[in-house]
Amino acid sequence: MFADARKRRGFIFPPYVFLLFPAVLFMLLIYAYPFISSVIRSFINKNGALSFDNYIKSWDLYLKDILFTFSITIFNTLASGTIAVLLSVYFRLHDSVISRFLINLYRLPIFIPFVVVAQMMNGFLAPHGLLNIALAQLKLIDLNNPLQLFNFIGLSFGFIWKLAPFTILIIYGGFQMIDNSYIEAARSSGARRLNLIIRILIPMNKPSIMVALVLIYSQIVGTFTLPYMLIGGKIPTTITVDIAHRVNYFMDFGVANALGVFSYILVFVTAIYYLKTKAREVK
Amino acid sequence: MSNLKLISILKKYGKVKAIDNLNLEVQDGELVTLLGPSGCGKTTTLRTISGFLAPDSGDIYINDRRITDIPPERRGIGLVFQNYALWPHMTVFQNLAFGLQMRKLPKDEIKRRVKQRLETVRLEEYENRYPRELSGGQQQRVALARALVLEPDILLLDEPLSNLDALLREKMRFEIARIHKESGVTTVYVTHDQTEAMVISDRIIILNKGRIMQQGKPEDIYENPANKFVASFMGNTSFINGTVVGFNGKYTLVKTGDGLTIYGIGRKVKKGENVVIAVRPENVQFVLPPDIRGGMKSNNLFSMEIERETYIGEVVDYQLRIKSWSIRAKSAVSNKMTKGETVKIYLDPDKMPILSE
Repeated sequence: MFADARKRRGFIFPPYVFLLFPAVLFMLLIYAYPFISSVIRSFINKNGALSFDNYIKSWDLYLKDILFTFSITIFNTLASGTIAVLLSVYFRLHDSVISRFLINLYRLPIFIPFVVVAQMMNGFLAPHGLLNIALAQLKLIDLNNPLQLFNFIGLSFGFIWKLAPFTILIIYGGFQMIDNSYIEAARSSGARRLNLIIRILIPMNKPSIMVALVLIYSQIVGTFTLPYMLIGGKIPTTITVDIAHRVNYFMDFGVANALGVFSYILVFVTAIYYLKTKAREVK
Repeated sequence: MSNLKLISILKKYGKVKAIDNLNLEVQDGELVTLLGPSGCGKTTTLRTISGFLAPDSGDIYINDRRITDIPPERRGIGLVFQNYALWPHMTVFQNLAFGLQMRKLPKDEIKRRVKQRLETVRLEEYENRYPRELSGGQQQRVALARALVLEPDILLLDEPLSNLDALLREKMRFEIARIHKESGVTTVYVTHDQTEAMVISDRIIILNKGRIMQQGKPEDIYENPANKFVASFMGNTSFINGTVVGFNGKYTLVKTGDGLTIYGIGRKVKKGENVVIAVRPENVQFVLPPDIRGGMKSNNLFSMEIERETYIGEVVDYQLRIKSWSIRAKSAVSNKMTKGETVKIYLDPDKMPILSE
């Protein structure tokens, strides 16, 4: 019936396409509208005219923070990814009491919200927090001159603690999908552990690894609580903290939106990769 | 030139003995098939030889070199898996070259050896294809070439044809036999398909519950099964239970509970012993009235009723009944008989093995 109709009038949508409407409407309202609206507003200056004023101001005031955000995102994505790959490989290739214990343990941070992680890190990384006291007890530092960790290092510690488990969840899942026979074929061909990991396991699990990296990359760019509670208004800080600052203290939505566009640009490339991968999976 | 020796191998999973004191020797260039039902220990044996499972006790030798504690990558064993296990991110060439690269051979040598092996499996034009671009049969041949390119001492094949469709499976049996003959590598082949085992093996080892039930040339095992399990596993066999009542020359006389007297060849059976007679469909002869002969042959003549007849292409398959016994038989399509008909059959006593129960 549809085939005939198509022949006569070209392609027409089948009636069941209406089933997609609730989901599409949700996407349009929750994601597309704010996104388009913020992009448009970023080009409107205080006088309501179209201009690059907001971008110029953002560039002048927050270039350091944009670069800081970019570097902390890249570093933590790669660090979490590396830790996740190493632990996932360990879980995949070892079946021992320790590995089984760690497999049960690693998931816990996934269920702890960023705001709780931030609070924990505040206590743990503070100048007289648990870490500095422990290091002082071990006589590795002098408590009168404690490690200052509310910066790139502390923020990375928090991000990795929170995001590496999520990354492991995806990457280890991918490794579990690889049948033992592929590993055994490699070993019987003479591959030792390092070659097995680098030449067989990681390439075979590349899609899962890349998707995990894309997801945590986007998450790091958009996280507000952790940098806000650990670094706050100190320079350099992340774009999300700057956006809050522009809105809370200056009601400056123009610059806040321009900063938001910078965030979009940071995640744009990875988002395209993610969508392409997912589209390929669907095919 | 390699031979493989397994001495008193024991492998337990909890209290269950997956391999129970297995002794096995595979001679240089021989193709031995481990045949048995699921859970009989054939794959466990293969994994023990390859080094992916450690035996609880016993020793494994290749050419008098003890390899029991040597890791798989240093055993010099080639493996072919049921699912082929070709690495999907590598081309056919890269799949074959991987093991040679692990051995740090020069590039030219790798190229030469890979090409030579691809020629053996007749896939020389496919070296740049990825596994997903090959058919099941082609993937299986690549898997075989990948194992052979390393020139292993021993080649192990774990149900390599079970993922293929019936037609391709039949074709590949002969292909594997040909490749084995050409390469001359000592091979252990695992399957649960008796036809496959019959086609490719120099020797078949029938396993059950981790123990060897019988071993020998395919035709020996088929024609002279050592026990009921082997008879039931090799071919389509019907069984008639009875008691040994006497001997007549080379024949053993068996009487069933319902009064049938059958002659057959007894194997280490004693008078008064409860036994089974293994009747294969091809050994059941339909006897037409003018053919009824006297002498010895009149002893194993029975009238039976056709309970079921099934046309299966080249022959007609029957289920025949006499008293409480049901046996299978086959006839040419041109002599097709119908359900309910009573027919005379002759069971050649020379082809009726009588086995201990």
